[in-house]
Amino acid sequence: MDDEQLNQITAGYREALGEAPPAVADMAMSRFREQGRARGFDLVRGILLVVGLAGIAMDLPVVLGTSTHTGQDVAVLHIALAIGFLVAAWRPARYARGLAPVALAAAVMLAVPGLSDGGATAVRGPMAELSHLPVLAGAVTLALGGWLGQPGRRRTS
Amino acid sequence: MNREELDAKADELAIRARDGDPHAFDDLCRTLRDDVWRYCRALLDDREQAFDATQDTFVRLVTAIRSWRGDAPIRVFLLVLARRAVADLIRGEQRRRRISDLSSTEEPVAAVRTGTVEVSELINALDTDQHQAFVLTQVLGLRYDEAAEVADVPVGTIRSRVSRARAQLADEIRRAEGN
Repeated sequence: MDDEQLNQITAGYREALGEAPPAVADMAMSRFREQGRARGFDLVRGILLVVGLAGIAMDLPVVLGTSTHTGQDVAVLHIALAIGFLVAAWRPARYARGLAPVALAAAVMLAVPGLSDGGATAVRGPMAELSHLPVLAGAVTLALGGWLGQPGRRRTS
Repeated sequence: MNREELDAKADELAIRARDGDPHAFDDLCRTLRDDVWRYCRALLDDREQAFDATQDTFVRLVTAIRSWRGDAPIRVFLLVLARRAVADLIRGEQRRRRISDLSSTEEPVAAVRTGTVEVSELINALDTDQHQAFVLTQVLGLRYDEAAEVADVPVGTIRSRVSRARAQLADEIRRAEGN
């Protein structure tokens, strides 16, 4: 069989096999997108975990120590939010959406005194504001994670 | 677009898709779906099975693309996945038949007449291994070493299978034209 005849045969066979139905890769395309979202989701959960642990580690010594009563109260609130971040990292679909507005409100309110008394903050030094960092980071992570815009779970009963 | 250009374009898309670009993944699927379809369709005969195998191949690619290192073109990598998908589908089908003993509803590839010879029937009548080698090298245009990688056999084996397939086809065509 010469090459020309072979080409003729393969062209005919290729034509008989036809072209792929357009929908044949649709499932793969949507799975690829889901996988990308899941990877981002895992990253956000990881950040929440780190932020939660850091918050507890930073504020637990204050609660257990001999700081002023006000200082201990603020540390307790920090720890409560940090535990919230850990719970949100554990079961984001259930808890993250509810925590997001609380964390954002706390982050904003914690930032206000620091911004308004700029002089005093400068005297105390930036380290004094460091204890707010886990709350800010957790709130931003929850917001960027999209949980504020995510539809809530519906009861099926 | 010739085969080299197609492979270069597909590889470029695969690199971006491996980095998580969903648009590149979509384009990659669109670029290569006809090749995967033809391979599955040639090996399976049944159109629905070919659809399932092709779909399964691309679904496997979603996770497998991260392990593609670029040593071989993505088209070859994808056809290896297609071979596995076809093999799994045939195994599953055989198991189902053993259980339910249902008769198969095979729908052979429509015959195409070239001159007086029904080419598709002749090609489908080839031995399974020769058929696969013929499809990979002649229909899909893979090099012998690439076809060997897809079929998971040495290059020499592919070479001899293609040669035997060509010889057999030539005999059959001569015989058919003689009648």
